[in-house]
Amino acid sequence: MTLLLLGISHHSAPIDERERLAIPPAGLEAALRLLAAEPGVREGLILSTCNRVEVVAHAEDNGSAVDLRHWLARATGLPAPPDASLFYQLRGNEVARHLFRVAASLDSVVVGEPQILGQLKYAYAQAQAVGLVGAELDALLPRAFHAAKRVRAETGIAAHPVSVSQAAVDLARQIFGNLSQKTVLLIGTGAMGSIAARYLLRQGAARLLVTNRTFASAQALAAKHHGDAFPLEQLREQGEHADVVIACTGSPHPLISKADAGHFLSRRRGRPMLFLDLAVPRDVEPSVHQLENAFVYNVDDLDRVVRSNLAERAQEAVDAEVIIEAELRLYAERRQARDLAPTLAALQTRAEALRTAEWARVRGRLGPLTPDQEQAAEALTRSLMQKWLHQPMVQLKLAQLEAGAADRDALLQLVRRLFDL
Amino acid sequence: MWSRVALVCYFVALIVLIAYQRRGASGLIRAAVATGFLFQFVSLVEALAAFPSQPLDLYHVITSLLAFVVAAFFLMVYRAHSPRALSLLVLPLVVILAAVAVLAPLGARSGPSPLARSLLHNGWIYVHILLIIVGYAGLVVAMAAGVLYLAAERSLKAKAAPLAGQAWLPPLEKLDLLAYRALLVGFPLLTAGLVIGAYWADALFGHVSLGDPTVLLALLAWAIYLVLLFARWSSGWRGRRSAYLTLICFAVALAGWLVNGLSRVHSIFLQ
Repeated sequence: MTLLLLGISHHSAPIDERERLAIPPAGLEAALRLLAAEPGVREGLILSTCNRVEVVAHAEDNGSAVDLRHWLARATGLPAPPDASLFYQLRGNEVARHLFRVAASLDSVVVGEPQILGQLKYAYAQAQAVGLVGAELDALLPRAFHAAKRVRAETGIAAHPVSVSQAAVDLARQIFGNLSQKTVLLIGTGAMGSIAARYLLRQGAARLLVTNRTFASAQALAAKHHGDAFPLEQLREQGEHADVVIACTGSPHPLISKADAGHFLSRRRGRPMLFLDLAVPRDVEPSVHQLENAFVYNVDDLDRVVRSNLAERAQEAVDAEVIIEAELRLYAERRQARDLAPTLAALQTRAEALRTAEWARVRGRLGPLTPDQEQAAEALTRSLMQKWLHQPMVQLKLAQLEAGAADRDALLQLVRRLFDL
Repeated sequence: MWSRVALVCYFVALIVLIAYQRRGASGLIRAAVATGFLFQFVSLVEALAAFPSQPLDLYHVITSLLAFVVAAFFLMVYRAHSPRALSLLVLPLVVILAAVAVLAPLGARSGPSPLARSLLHNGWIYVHILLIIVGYAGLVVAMAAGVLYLAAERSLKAKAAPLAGQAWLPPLEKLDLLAYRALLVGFPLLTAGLVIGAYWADALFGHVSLGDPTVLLALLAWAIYLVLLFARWSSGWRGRRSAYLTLICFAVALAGWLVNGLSRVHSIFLQ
């Protein structure tokens, strides 16, 4: 059995491609069920955020029967599987390393941004809800979360956060200077957008407006921040009040067209507007950026903007990688112990079964025995089996500590075959 | 004499500013400019006090006065916002004006004509000059803010520049507001200056010579000034368009300033 991962992210593909392959929150459950129905897939997980779409599968045998690209095409309704060059495909230990790094936000657009951990936890919970999580992922993901927590606690990555939110605040300051008179409009209640909005409020923004397709969740979020909510249908009337618009919805079509933005700006008499489009597919038409006094930054732009800060974080990231490697070793050891334990147990169970069966067969022919004799015979057979098994078990345990992964797997398989386990 | 000291002070401020481009030494820069400002004030008072026993070289006095007023604006703005980039634009301008006032070859020292002399004895001509100069100084500050606005807007639109590199540019809205306020202060003063000038021209020559290049360009600058403010009030023109128009307005005003020597009306003071 093998772990497989197919992923597309800002490292591998431009936003247009990620847009096409994004799995909206509403479609996640269906996509997970589709994944569960895939032949050869035992466990699975789908992580679809603004920056990445990743699918993890625990496949039977060496995973050759599973074609995740074809699955993704079906899940996103594309006629043909997308070009392989857009993706990275990982297997085995590389999957674990990748997920550890993703959880610790070392693979993010903005290294160290805290949202991704929550998104991965959500993906895990969703997969659990569909019943697509088994022993393998149950062992892997909590370790990844643990590693992420360690990275955050032990390195400066979280101490000097350079997140999408931070980049958003910087941009707002570039345009407006002081935020104390400014209104933030949040479209969609997605994690990344909410965090960015909260950050702007903490930096002094005066007012929060929230709108969402489900009005109730907009109201709930607005109430939490003493803001106001309005139904999405009123966007055209209400949009002009916003100085900063944060859009992070799962909508397949843009919500703000060039005409809409032009309308806002003329109602605002040209006071500038900053659109932070955190959604993929995009919520704000890219052409809005051409309008005077309108500034549209999508996730790729923010990526470029914050990349300049990465140098400062290089040292922190190096420390984080060290932690990740240590955690990966720990995870690998536990995983091997988990592989070995059932084999050892099976070996002993089998030996015990043989012994009791043989003893039962011979016992009748011996005639009446005193309890002492009975005990001696039990001890004799048991110790024979144990002495016989001693060396193989020692060798297996040694192999776990010393041999390479391939040798170990080969030895385990050999033992299972020899003893018909 | 004192104007030379003032020039040295401004120059020191500029050098310090260039040496510490991004941050630091703000206090030193402000102190240097303020010292220069004081010396310039002393030199102006001295020149005016010596008059009429010593003829005024009006061109120098006016240039010196403009440097003085721009320096005053600079000190005010620097206190409120401390934008390095704005300093980098305005301070060289102060230095150039002060240098022109000191180093430009002296005009003929024959003194003003009797007509001009009578005017100069009348205080209104000083009010005229002062008002127009402050009006122009407002335009200079607005121009500087406009140039920075265009630079900042360009880099935000291009999305290319990393944010850290932009940090030395003031926020867009601040620049826009600064330009607007400078215009708002400058406009009524320039208007009043022009009205006084027109009144005296009418009294002296019997008509306002619209064909005169300085007068024409000043009126044109005033008209653009008016359009700028009006467009902002009526249809919310701001930002880029406003900045471009400010630049045009500044260019026209500058041209008017440069052709002062060609102006028949104004050259009477320069002979």
